[in-house]
Amino acid sequence: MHKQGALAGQLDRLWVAGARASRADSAAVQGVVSALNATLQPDQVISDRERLLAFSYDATGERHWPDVVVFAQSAQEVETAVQIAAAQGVYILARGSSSNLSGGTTPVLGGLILSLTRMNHIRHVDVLNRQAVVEPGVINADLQVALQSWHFFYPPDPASHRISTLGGNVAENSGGPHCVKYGVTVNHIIQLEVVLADGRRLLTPTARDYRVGLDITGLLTGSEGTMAIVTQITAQIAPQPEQTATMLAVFASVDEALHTVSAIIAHHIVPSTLELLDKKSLEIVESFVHAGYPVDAGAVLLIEVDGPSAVVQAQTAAIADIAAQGGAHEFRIAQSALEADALWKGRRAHYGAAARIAPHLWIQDVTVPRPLLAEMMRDVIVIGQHHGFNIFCSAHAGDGNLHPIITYDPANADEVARMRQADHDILAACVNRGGAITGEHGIGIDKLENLALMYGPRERQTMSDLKHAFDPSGVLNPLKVVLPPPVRPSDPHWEEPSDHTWTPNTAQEASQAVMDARQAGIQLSVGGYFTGWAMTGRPLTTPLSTSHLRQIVDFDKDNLTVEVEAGMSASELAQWLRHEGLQSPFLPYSSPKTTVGGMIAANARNWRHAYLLGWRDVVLGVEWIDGRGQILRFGRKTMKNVAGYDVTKLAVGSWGRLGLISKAILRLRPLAPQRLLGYTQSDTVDRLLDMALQFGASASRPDGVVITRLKPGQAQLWIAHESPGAEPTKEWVEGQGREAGLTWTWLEEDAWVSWEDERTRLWQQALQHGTYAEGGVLPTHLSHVINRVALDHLFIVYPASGAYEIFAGPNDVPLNLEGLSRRISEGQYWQQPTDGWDAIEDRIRHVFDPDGIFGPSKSRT
Amino acid sequence: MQSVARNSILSEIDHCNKCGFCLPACPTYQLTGSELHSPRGRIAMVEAATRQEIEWGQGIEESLSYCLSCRACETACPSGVRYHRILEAGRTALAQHRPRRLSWATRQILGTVKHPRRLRRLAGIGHTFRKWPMPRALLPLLPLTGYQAAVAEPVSPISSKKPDVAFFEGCVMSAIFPDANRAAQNLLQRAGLAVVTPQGQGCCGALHLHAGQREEAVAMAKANILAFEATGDVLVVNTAGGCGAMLSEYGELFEHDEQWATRAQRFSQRVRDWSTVLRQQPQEIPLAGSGERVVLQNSCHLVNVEHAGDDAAALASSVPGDQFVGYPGQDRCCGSAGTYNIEHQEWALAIVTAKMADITALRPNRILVNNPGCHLQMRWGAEQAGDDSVQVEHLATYLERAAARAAASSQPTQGGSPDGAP
Ligand SMILES: Cc1cc2nc3c(=O)[nH]c(=O)nc-3n(C[C@H](O)[C@H](O)[C@H](O)COP(=O)(O)OP(=O)(O)OC[C@H]3O[C@@H](n4cnc5c(N)ncnc54)[C@H](O)[C@@H]3O)c2cc1C
Ligand code: SF4
Ligand code: SF4
Repeated sequence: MHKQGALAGQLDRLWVAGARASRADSAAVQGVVSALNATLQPDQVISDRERLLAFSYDATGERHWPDVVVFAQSAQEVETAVQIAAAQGVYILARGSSSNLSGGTTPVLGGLILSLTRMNHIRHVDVLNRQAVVEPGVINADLQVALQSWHFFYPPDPASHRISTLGGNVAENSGGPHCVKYGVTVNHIIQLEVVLADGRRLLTPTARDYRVGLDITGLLTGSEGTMAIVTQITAQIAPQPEQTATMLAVFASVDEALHTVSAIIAHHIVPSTLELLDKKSLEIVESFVHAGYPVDAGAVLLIEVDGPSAVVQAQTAAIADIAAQGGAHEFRIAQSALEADALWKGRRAHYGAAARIAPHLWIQDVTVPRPLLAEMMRDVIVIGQHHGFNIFCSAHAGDGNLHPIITYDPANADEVARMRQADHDILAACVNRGGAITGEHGIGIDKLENLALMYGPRERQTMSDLKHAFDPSGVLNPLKVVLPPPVRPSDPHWEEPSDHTWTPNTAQEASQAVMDARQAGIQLSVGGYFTGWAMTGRPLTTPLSTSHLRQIVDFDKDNLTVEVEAGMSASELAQWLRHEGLQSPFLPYSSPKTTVGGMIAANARNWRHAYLLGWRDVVLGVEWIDGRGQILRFGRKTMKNVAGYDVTKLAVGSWGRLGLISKAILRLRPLAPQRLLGYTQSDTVDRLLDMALQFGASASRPDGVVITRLKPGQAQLWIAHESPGAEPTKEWVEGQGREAGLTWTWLEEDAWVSWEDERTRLWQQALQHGTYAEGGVLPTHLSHVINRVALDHLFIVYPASGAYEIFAGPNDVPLNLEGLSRRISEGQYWQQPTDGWDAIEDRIRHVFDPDGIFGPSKSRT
Repeated sequence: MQSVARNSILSEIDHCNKCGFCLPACPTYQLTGSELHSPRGRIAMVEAATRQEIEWGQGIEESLSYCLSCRACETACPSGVRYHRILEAGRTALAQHRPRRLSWATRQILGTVKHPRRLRRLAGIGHTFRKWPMPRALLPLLPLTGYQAAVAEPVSPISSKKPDVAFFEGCVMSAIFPDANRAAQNLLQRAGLAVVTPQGQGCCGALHLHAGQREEAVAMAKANILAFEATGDVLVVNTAGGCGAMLSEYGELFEHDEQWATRAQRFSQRVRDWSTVLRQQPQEIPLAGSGERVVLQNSCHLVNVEHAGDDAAALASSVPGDQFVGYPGQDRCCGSAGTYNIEHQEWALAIVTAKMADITALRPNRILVNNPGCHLQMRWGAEQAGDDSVQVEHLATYLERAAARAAASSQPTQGGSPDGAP
C-alpha cells in the first residue's frame, strides 16, 4: 500500500478526532483488498492509489484518500464487504451519488468506500398499498419517472433530485421545495433493509402505526451512514394531485415577501411550495437564465398550491389577494405547464448561476421558526457585511429553511478564513433564534464542531452513545454527525431524598424523583393516568405520573407549533386548538384522561389523518428525563432539522421504557372551516375494504378512512376530512358510493366523541373480560385477516396503514394471525418478537436507562 | 505541464464545485456507476495529476480514454464548466507522459478520411466482405462498412441567384452517405435557398483532434477556412452533428494563433446545422408520411455543442401521417463517438445495446440519425439486437422522401414513384 499523502486544500480534520481515530494500517487494508479480490469480480474493486482519487470527495469539495472502493451489486455483497472490512477494523463509508453538502462521503480517515450506484433497481411499485420498494442506488428522479405512469409521485424532491440516490436521501433525511406541505424524507420511509456494522442484514420495524419496538426506521433516516448501510427502501408514495397552480409574486423587499408568507399561513392555506429569492439572487439568476424575473425587485416568492381543482382555484385567488395586500407589485399565475416551468426555471438555476460568478461558493442551510425568517435574513446580511461578503439567499420560506450563499476563492487564504468565521456566526445566530444549524444538508464533517452550538454535552453524549449502540466498534463513517464531548458528563447532582413526589410539577422535580428512585433501587412506571398500562405488558411498579405537568409552554400560532407539557389532557388540547382554528392530527376528541405524552409514548392510532405515518410525523421535539435523571432536549420548533440524530423519533412508541417524556413540541395544521364525517355500511366487509383501497390510490381521497365492525354483522366504512375541500371531497365520495350502490350518512362533528367512546369501551371490555389483539399487514392483505376473524368478533381496521384491532372473547385470536403484533387475553400478554433487533434495542435502552429502573431489559425478562 | 497551461487549466477546473449534476448525463457513468468514469471524476483526475498528486499514469489514462467526448456533461453543468478543455488538456499531457500508439484500425481510419475515394472504396468493399468471415485486425472496422447509398437525384437547383448557403460535405458523409447530403441540399432548395458547394474543402479534423493529432486537425481546419472564405459571409451548412460541432469551434482551436484567430472565429460564426437553417426558413415544405413510427437518435454534438438538437427533433416530428415518438434517451450519445467504437468496442456495444433496448420497446419502423458515426453505430446496434425490421436513416433522406411524396401527390400528372424517390 502506498502512503496516502495530503491533498491540496485539505483542512486538518484530525484535530477534531484528537487521539480518538487514525487511518487503518496498511496491513489491515491489504488484508481487506485481498479478501475482496477473492470474492468479487475485478471490476468491482478499486485499490490502486491513482484510481482511488476519484472517490476522495463529495459536493463539499474537500478531498481525502480512501483505501479501497467496492461496487456492490446486491445486498449480499454489501454484507460481504462490511464483514470483510469490519473484521480488519477498516472504516466503511456508504456512497450514493456523493452530492451531499456536508462531507458525508468524504473519507476523512480513509477506509472502504462502498459504492451503491449499481444497486439501482426499482423492485416494486404497488399503488394499492401506496408504496415503492427500491434499491438504495435508485436516483430520486428515476423513481418519479417510474411513478408517473401510475399517476403517483414520491413527495420529497431535493433540488438535487436528478442526481441524488434514495439511499443518500434517506441517509441525509433530505428535504425539498414540496416538503412544506408533504414533509421531508423521513415522513415517507416505511421500512428499511439495512446491513449493520457486524454484517448482519435486517429489516427495520415498520414505521407504520402498528409498529412494536422502537422507531429504528426513523432514527436511521438521517443517520448519514454512521449507524447502518441501507440496502433496500420501502417508501410511501402518493397519488398526484388533481391540479397544481404555480404563481410568482414580486415584492419591493424581503420583509414584504415574508409578511405575505405569514399571511398565507394565517389564512389557513398550506401551499405545496413557498420559495423565496432575494434581490441579489434575482440579479444573478436573471443574468444567466433570463427566466423573466424582475431584477429591480427586492424579493420574489414562488408559490404553488395543489389539490382538487375547486380548492386550487379558491386558494390561488386568495393568495393573489393576500399578495396584493402584502404589497406585491406584480403577481403572475402560470397558465400552462410550460409557463409554470418558466417560473421554476429561475429558482432552479439559482445554485448554478451563483456558481458562475465565483470559482467557489459555500451554501449554508439553517432553519429557524418560520416567523423569524426575516430577522434571520437580516442577521445573515449583517454578518456578511461584517466579514466582507455580499451574502445572498434563497429560502424554503414555508419551512423557515434558509440557504445563504457565500462566494469565495479557495486560493485566497484570508478569504477562506473569513468565510469560515462568517459561516460559524450564521450558525450561532440561527441557534440564538431557536433554530437548527442544518435543515436538510446534514452535519457530516462540516458542522461537527458546531453541533455544540445547539446541543449540550448531555445530548451529544446520548447521540454518540446511540451511534455506539448500532456500531460498537465505530467502523461506519467515522468523524461524522456527532462526537462525544471530551469528557463524559457526570450524572446530575443528587441530594438526599427529601420531599420528592411521584407526581412532579416540573421537569426538575421529575428528574429529582428519578434520581431518588435510582438511588433507592425503586422500579418506576411512567405514565399519565395509567389508563392504558395493560398495553405495556409490564406489571405496574411505582407510578411516576405526569398528570401535574399540564402547561402549554409555548404556542406559536404563526409558526404552527405548540409546546406542551406531557401530562396535558390530549382532548383538552385538541379543544383548545380548535378554538384557535388549528388542529394536531392525532389528538382525540374524548377521553380527558389520555395525556399528550401518553399518546406519544404509545404512538396511539388515530384514523383522521390516515395517510400520515403516525405521531412521528407530528412531534418535532421532546424534552425527556432519562434513567439518570438527566433532562434532555431534542428537536426544535422548526419544520426541518437534521442536526445530529433524530432522537425524538425514539420517544414515539417508547412505552415509558426510555424515560419520562416531560414536554413535546407538536406541529399543527389549520383546521378547515368545513369538515366532513360520515359513514356508509354494508354486510360484506370486503366490499368496503375494496372501496377504501381505491380511495387511497386516488388524489380525491378524504384525509381519513377506517372500517369498523362495532356490532356483529354491521360493517361500516367511515371517512373524515379536515383539509380544505370538504365539498368536492363529499361529492366525490358520494359518487364513488353510487357506483358501488352504497349510500352515505353524514354526521355532525359531535359524533366523533361517541365513535371514540365506543372504541374505548370495547377496548377496555376486551382487556378486562376477553381478548384485545392488534397488528398490521399490507392494506391489501387486510381481507385475509378479516376473513379469519370469527363473525361475532368486533374489529377496527385501518385500510390506509394496514393496522387492525380485534375485540374478542377470551383466548379467541390465534397467535398465528397474519401480522399480529400484540395480544392481551385474560391478563396474558404476548408481543411479536422484534426479530434480530433485541440486542440493539437493549443497548438503546441501556443508553437511556443504564440501571433498568423503567423496566428490565428484554434479554433479561 | 507548462505553468501557463497549468494555471489556465486549474482555473477552469476551479469552476467545478463537484456538485455532481453532470453525472446522470454521462453515458459512461450510466454504464459503470463509477466516479472514475464520470465527468466529475475525470475533472478530479486531471486536477490531481496537474497538481502532481497522482502520476500521469494508468489510472488517469483509463479514466480519460473511455470518455466519449459527447459533452453531455457540459449541457448538464449548472456552473458552465467547459469540460472539453479540461479533457483536451488532460489528454495532451497524457500523450506526452504516456505516448500511446493508436490501434491499427484507428490509424487506418484517420488516414482514410483524408482521401474520400479510398474511404468510399473501403465502405464498398465492406459491403461485399461483410458476408464473409473477416480477418481479426479488420473486425473493428466492421461498423463502418456495408451501407449502400440510394441513388440520389437532385431537385432542379436554384441557379438564377447568388448562393444563400455554402454546403460543407464532410468526409464520411460524402463518401458513405452522399444520399443524405443530396437530400439536405434538395430540402434547402425546396425551401427556396440556393446552395453552393465550395471547392477545396475536406475533412473537418474532429477525429484527428480527438485522437490527439492536433497538428493534422489544424491543417485541415485551415484548408476549410480558406475554401469557405471564397463564399463570403453566407451560412455554412452541413449534415453531420460531429463535423458541425468541430467547425463551430475552429474559433477556439485557433484562439492562441494570432494569424488565424479572427478568421477562424468568423468562419465558426457562420456554421449551422442544415436542420436549423431549414427550420428557420419561412417557406414551408409540404410533407407527407406513410404511417410510420419514427424515433430520433440525436447527434450529441449537435445537442451539446451547437445546441441545435431541438431543430432536429422539431423537423423529425413534422411529417403529417407519420408518428414521431420521443424518448428520454433521445439526446444521449449512442457510443459511436468518432473512433470510440473502434478503440473501446466493448463499451460502445454496451452503450448502444442499452439504447436499442429503450428504442425497441417503442417499436419504431425507423431510427433517424443526423451524424454519420451515429448512423453506422445505430445500424450496428440494430443488427446486434437482431432487429432487422427497423431502418436506420439520416433525417434528411427521410424528410426528402416525405417532401417528394407530398409533391407527387399534389401534382399527380407529373407522375413519379413516391416511395422510391429520391
Ligand atoms: C446543487 C445541490 C443541491 C442540493 N439540494 C438539496 C436539497 O434541496 N435538499 C436536500 O436535502 N439536499 C440537497 N442537496 C444535498 C444532497 O443532494 C442530498 O444530501 C442527497 O440526499 C445526497 O444523496 P447522494 O446520493 O448524493 O448521497 P451521498 O452524498 O453519496 O451520501 C450522503 C450520505 O449518505 C450516506 N449514504 C449514502 N447512501 C447510503 C446508504 N445506502 N446507506 C447508508 N448511508 C448512505 C453517505 O455515507 C453520506 O453520509 C443538494 C446538493 C447539491 C450539490
Ligand atoms: S464528454 Fe460525455 S462521456 Fe465524457 S465525461 Fe462528458 S458526458 Fe461523460
Ligand atoms: S456539473 Fe459541473 S460543477 Fe458540477 S460536478 Fe459536473 S462539471 Fe463540476
